[in-house]
Amino acid sequence: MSERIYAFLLHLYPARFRERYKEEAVQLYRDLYRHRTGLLPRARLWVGLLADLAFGLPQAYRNTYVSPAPAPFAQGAQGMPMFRLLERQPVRSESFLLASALTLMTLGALSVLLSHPTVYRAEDVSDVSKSPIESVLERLNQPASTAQPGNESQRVSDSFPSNGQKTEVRKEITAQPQQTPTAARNGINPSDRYKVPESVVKNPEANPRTRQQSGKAPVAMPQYATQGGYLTAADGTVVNAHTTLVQRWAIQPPPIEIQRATVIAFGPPATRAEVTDADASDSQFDLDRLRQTLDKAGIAFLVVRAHSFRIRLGSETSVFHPKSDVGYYLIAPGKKPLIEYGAITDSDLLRAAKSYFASLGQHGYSGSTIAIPGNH
Amino acid sequence: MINMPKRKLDPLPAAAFQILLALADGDLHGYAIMRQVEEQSAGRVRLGPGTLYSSIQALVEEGLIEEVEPGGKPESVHERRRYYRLTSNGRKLARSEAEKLADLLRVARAKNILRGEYV
Repeated sequence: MSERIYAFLLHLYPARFRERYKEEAVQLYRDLYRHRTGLLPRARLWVGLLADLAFGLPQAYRNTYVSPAPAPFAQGAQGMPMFRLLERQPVRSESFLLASALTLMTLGALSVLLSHPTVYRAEDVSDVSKSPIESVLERLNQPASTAQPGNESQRVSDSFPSNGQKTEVRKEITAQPQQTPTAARNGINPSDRYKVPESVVKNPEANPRTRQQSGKAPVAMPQYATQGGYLTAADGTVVNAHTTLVQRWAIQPPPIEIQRATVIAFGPPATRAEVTDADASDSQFDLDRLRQTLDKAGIAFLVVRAHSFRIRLGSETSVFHPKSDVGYYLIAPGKKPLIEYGAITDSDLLRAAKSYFASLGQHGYSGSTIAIPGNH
Repeated sequence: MINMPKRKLDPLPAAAFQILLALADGDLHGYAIMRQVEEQSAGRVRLGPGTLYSSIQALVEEGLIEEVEPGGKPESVHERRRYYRLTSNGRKLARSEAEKLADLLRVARAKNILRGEYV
């Protein structure tokens, strides 16, 4: 019985040790046990064996159990990296099962982590603490000075009205966005990245919620649907920043390139749960009205739904982090931007725009061309 | 100059040194080494199976002792034992270790820490 216990304790030693010395160790134990008669001597023997276990185990695990005769190729090759066999026995099937289960669990956890929606926050260009991936992505998204294939920068054409005459506002995308591998894996069509949801643009006049219902003046900040869950856009300019981690890598929003007077309405990213089709249609209605008014005055109007966004003015790119969730960013080349925080009415916004852009005479623009509703 | 390889037995553990000394007189198997160590240390050092065989393995890996075929007829199939022999490197190392201890003993004697009967 005691011999079996000792043999069981030998399992604490490395397999290579047992393979080589188990029989001898058990034989030695048998000899020791045979020469000790009486309860006390055998108890002492076991105390000694337990102490021996404590002292012998570390040394047993330090041993390599390789033959002292070196292989021919290893002779005289001190310092050369060599593989060291820890176990001579083949891997058991249980180990494969355990490894498979652990691998699946790890992959599952990684998948859940990557598919979990995260809020995108654009990094400050001047922030040197950006990760290498973010730096590379930012460089890749930097537009070139001239339109080149693959340049994803949104460019607002510099088509100011001259002499107060109305000129059609034109907005163009300089090139089709390229399909990135990650975007392809996620089924993101690059041409859809800035598309307006069909439910939004189908019939803007059919606004299910009129302002008369609430009795309040309309709020110009629209609510946007997040069709597809990754990116929504209105008039090719809206970026919804509620994306998964994978999608965030795949769709780095390009900077907004300012080439003429522009009004940017900004708001927080909206989730699918927050926005319904009715809300989107309602917002689109207000948005289109505001855009039409500004378009007539030669002012571009963009809507961005993100916690921050990048502005490219000439060769300089800056990141705007709003202090409030909702507001308007008015900017023109050569002019310090004006920021109006809060949800204001269309009329208030147009008044602010009229005042801000009034001094842009050198561009042939006169703020007086802005038609403010109710000011006739 | 003794060509001593860099090894994990540096410094030489007491158990390994005792095993080298035990094998200085001839080839022995594990149990005989254990008894020899106990005898040469006047019962102060008793090696258990774990310490004995892990030390033997380390000494074999370092080339200080080697396994040899038993000279006589084995007692039985079930009691076949491995025999070990001191190699030349093992003997040199044992001598070097003994000289170190002797130096220490001389110092201790010079400082009147030890009485004369020990050396």
